[in-house]
Amino acid sequence: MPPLITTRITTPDNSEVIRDRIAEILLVESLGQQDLAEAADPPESPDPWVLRIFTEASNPFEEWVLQDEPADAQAFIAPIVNVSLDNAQAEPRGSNKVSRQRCTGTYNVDCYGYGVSKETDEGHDPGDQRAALEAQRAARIVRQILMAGHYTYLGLPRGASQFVWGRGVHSLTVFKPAIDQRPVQRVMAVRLQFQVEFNEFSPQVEGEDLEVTSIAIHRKDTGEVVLRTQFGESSP
Amino acid sequence: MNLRAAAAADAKAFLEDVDGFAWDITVTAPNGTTAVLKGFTTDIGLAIDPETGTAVTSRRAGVALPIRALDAAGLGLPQAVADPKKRPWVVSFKDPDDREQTFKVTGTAPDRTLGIVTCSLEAYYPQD
Repeated sequence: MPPLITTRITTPDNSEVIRDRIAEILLVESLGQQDLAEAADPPESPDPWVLRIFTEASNPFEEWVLQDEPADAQAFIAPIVNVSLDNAQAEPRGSNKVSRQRCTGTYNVDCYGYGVSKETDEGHDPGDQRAALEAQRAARIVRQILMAGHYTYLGLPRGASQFVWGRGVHSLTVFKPAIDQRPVQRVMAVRLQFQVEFNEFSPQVEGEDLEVTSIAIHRKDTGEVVLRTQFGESSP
Repeated sequence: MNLRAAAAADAKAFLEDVDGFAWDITVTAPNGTTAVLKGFTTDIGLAIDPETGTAVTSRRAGVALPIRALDAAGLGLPQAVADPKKRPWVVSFKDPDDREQTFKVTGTAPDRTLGIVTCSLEAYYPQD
């Protein structure tokens, strides 16, 4: 059987486009928040708004587990956010069988916070509490960015080219490791499950002209309706 | 000596056997009392995910110490300290490459049958 699709499949699926768009929004807005902090009067430290953004990373926080905190620690300890596609469910009612499927995609936006216990003048700064607060703070920033009105359609095309129809946070889950599973470096995670409604499209048949036909409808003086047709190059 | 006492004595002997796996461990109580004891240490980089059975990167550290040695040093039983207004129990030991690692005790599992306490550890940075 010969292949029927005559064009190469090079365009990413909209599920991929949306995943990358979520990461782009978070990075751009994180940088924007840092600029706003520095531009404030009086200027504020941009550090609380630093987020390190990853997509589809399986172990983005390994350096926290294996390395000691460096002297210049801010870039090291900034929360890590990983965006990954979890699943996309098709909705037959909003779809057609030929070219378009209405889907709801679920994206896991995982926010990791880091904390190491440190001695203080008063006592010590518990690492588990620090990690949990950092993870939840990162989740706060992420949720408020993605749910901002400006990003109702993720800043993607509207009108005839629109393919995103809505978005929302489905759930927020905090991961707490079991007591006997706690690692040396405290890393806590908060997962935002973010759902996006969108269309997916697919390659279509490229039609070819078989025969040119024209039909003209006329009414004679007698009221009779007649058709004048022309097929190809033939005379009408 | 009955068998149970003999087992407890043997356990202490194993933990403190300098020709075996015993290692120098510095234990510091929240009140500042410190002592160097002998015991077992672990600091590994892989763990088995209990849900999937696969190996995952996860640094886990712990020590096992004789309870009698802790009592003799005037330290008592270590425990996790969550209060930020208190110093935690601090444990430090060197790795085989002579690098000193400092930890905070995050969990304690005393075995009062054999007189051994096992402590789970997390990274801890003392003030300079």
